[in-house]
Amino acid sequence: MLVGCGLPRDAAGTLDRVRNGIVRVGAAENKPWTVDGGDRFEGVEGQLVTAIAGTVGARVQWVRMPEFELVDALHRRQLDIVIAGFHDKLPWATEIAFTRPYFTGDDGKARVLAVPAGENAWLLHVDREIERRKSDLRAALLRKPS
Amino acid sequence: MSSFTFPAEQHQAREQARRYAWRSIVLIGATGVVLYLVTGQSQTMKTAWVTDVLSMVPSVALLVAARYELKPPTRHYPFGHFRAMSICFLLTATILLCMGVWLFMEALLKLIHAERPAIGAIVLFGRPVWLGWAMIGALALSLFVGMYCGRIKQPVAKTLQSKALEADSATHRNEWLSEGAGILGILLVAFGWWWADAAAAALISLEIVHEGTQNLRQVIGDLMDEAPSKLGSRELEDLPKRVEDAVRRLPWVQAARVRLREQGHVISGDVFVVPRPGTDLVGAIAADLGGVRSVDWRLHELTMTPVASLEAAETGRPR
Repeated sequence: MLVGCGLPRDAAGTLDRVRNGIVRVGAAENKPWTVDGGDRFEGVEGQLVTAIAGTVGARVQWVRMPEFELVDALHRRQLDIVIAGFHDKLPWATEIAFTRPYFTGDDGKARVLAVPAGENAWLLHVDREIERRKSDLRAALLRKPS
Repeated sequence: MSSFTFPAEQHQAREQARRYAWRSIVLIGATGVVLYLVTGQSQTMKTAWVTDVLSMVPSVALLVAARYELKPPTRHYPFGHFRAMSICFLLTATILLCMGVWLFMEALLKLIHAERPAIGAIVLFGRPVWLGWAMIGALALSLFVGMYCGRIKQPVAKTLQSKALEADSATHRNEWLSEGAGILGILLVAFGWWWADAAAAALISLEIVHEGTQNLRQVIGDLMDEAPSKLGSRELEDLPKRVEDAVRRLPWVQAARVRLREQGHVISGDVFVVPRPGTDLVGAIAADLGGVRSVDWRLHELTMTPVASLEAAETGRPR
C-alpha cells in the first residue's frame, strides 16, 4: 500500500527491510489471543500477524520467548513485531510501541500488538492493516466463546 | 482614602481586557483539547500541550485579580488591594519557570535514554491517517490561536499601562517559536530522525523557562517598589520628574522631591515639599493635591509631606 509521499519513514528502516523479506515475530502463548501450534502460532493474533506479513510479501520467522524477554528484544529491535495478548494499559508504552487496538472486550481491555518504538512507517502500516480487519476480527471473536 | 476609579478610556480597556481574557481561555482551552487528543507518546506534543494550558493561566490570574484590585481598603488592608495583580503575576511566573525546568529535564532524559517516539495512526473521519500529520495540524491551530490572543491583548495592555497584560500578550506572541519548533520536530520525525521529538521539546521548554524568568524579573521589580518603568523594558519613566515639576510650579512651594512606586496597575508615592513661610499648609495641600494627581491617571495614594529642608527627606532620595 502506498503511504502518501513516502512519509513517515522508519528511524531504522524496518518496513523497507521486511518488504519481500522476513518478519521476525516474537510470540508468547496467551490464550485465546495467541495459541502455540508448534511450528506456528494460531489464535486471533497469530492469524492477524501472518496476514499482515502477507501484505508486505514477507515470510514469518517465529521467535518463542517469555513475555518480558519479548519486550526487551523488541526494544533492542531484534524483533519486528510481538504478539502476546498485550493490552494497551501495560506499563511498557515508552520502551515499545503499541499498535491501535484490534479488539476491545467486555473487560474493557483494548488488545494490541507491539512494534519497536521509532519505526513509524512500520507502525503506521500495521495500524492500517489492523483498522482494515477490525470489524472482521471483532465478528470472529464474538462468534466463538472464549 | 477614596477608592480608585479608572478614567473612562482605561475603564473601557479594563472591561475589554476581561472579555479578552475569557475569550482566550475558551480558545486556548479548545486548542488544548485538540492537542491532548493527538499527543500520543510524543514529548514535543506533551510539552506543547503543557505550554498551551500554561498560557491560559495569566488570563485566569487577571480575571481573579481584577475582582480584588479595586476593592476599597479595609481594616485589614488599609492600603487597598492593588497588589492582587502582582501576586497573581508572581504565581503565574513561578509556575511557568518550574514547568519549563521540569519539561526541559524530561526532554533531556529522553534524549539521554534514546527513547524513540512511536507515532502511529489515528482514525479521522473513518480513515486511518498518520498521527504526525494531525499533530502538525493541531500545532498550527495552536500557533494561530496564540498569535490572535497576543494581538488583541497588546493595545489593551498599552492603554492600561499594564505590565501583567503586556507580559501575557508577549507570551502569546512568542508562541510561534514553540509551535514552530514543535512542527519542525514532528516533520523531522517523519523523515526518520527520532531524536528531533525530544530536541524540539527541549527547545520549547527552554522558551517556557525564558518567559518565566522574564515575567518573574518584572513582578519582583513591582513587589520591590520599583520606580515606574516603561512597558516591556527596564527603562524608567520620567513620571516622578513630571510630578516634581508640577509641584514646583505651585506658588507656595519652595522646593520639592518625589518618589513613586508601581503597585499593579496604579502608582503611589510621596511628595516632600519645602513650603514658603507663612503658608496655610493644610489648606494648600488640600487645594492642590488633586491637581498634582491629575498629572497621570495611574496616580493614586499620593501623600504630600511638608519638610523643613529636602535633606530631611533624604531617605527618599534615590542615589
